[in-house]
Amino acid sequence: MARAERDAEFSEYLRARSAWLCRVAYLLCGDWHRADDLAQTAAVRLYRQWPRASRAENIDAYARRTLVNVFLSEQQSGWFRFAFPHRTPIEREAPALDADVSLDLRAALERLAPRQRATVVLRYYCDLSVAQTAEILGCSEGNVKSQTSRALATLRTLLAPATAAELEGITG
Amino acid sequence: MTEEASEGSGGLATGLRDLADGEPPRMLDVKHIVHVGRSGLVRRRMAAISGGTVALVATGLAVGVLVPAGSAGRGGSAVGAGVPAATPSTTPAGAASPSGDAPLPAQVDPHDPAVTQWQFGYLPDGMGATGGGGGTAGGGTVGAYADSGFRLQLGQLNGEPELHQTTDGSAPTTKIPARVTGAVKALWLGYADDRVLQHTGIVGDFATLAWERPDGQWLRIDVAHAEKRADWQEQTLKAAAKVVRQDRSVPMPIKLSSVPKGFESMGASTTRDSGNATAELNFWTAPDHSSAPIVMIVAFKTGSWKIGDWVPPQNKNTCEDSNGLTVCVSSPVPEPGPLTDAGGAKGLLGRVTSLGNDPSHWTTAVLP
Repeated sequence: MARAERDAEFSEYLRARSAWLCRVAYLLCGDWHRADDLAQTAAVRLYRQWPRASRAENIDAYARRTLVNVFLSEQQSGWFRFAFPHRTPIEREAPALDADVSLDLRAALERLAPRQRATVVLRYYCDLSVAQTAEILGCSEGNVKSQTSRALATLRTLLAPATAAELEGITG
Repeated sequence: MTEEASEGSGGLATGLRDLADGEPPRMLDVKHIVHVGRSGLVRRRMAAISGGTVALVATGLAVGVLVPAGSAGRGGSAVGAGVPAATPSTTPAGAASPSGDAPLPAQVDPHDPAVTQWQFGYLPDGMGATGGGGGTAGGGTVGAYADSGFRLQLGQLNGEPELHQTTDGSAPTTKIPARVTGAVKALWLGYADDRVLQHTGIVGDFATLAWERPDGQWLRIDVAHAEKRADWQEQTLKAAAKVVRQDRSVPMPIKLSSVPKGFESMGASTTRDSGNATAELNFWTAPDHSSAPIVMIVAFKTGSWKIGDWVPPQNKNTCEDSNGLTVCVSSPVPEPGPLTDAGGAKGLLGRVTSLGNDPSHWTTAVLP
């Protein structure tokens, strides 16, 4: 593919989809500034892989997979956790909160471990099946189901009753 | 919505949509992304064409990051930004300014996956710019460390930083004006009312200085263990005023004799916090980077860290001590085919040379 043609194709795609990419990134990380960084890193990687990505059956799926990968590799990098402590969610199992303290959805998502959060975003925002989510996360379908189940249980615990009621379906 | 996802989740899907749509649509800078993407391709092609023989600038970099700490007397030292800092400097600290000057000539070794884009032109006494990262492992950030644990981490921002939104007290919830010589605008995040407002066990008291250069580029310095230095604000502001634009390879404490077939470098990073070296080399093991399993080679001063601090909890880790460093191969399970073909984790470890904890022995010739 000639460079000019490649750049034009890629630019057209990114202009059309950058808002979407940033939104998914925001749901993954919970911070708009970092979402911009994540989306930009994913977009650069997408550019470098464009000859392959542009031939994919679904370019959005390719871009989304790239973004999730960027997000998870940052979370996995010890250097990232060391260098950017304020940009790394603190992972907690079943956080203990005062009984009268509850959180909105954004804050509750922040308490999920990165892979659980990615699972929730992929399944409930990106509308993907268990199998599709497993493929993106590089794990078994059973693992996706258990991550989903744990994530929903945590959200149920954390959300304010009014919010939980609005989000009917994850209330107990 | 898919059948599986729809069970009792309609409200959650709506909640997520409301959350994501709550702000006006954000647009990425497409031109900038194409530019960055293209430069990465050029660099990779040059490395491939060189066959391991072409280095734009490599000689001297192995020791070049050691700032002659304190050599400028009390208050810090000028870092020779135009040449490796361990050699006599031709660029005095006063010559480098944040006024949007043209970048200094690159000092990039194509054998080194860790390339940083901005450099310190000044560092407080007792500090050396011994760390940084490139690619997905570090994003071009450079780190400077004192043995006390005091640390300055320099990197770029896409724009004026927003306040982070965490609820656990670990993120800045304040920003106040700061004064960086030559900058259009400058802000302290996480510092107000004469005190640092953030603290974690790993980095102590920490704050961020962000500033905008006249060319519109925003940069940041993250300060860690501010409690270790009474003049940390003054020194950070001074360091910010002398930052220069320059691509430079970061010497690392490990090198590989050969890269297994099917491995592609994602990036690398190194730190030397409180005198303890760490290094991380990451590889994709499949051509499709959007889903490729990632193999990590991680090294740290023996006894200073545990491998579990640096890698995903689900990974399998194989470690050996060598020359004062613990070197580990960390891979997903099941083991990626290219790693198996390379003799597994043990086989890959056999290709790694540990250069030890002393930065004077480190190299930019990280990959063959």
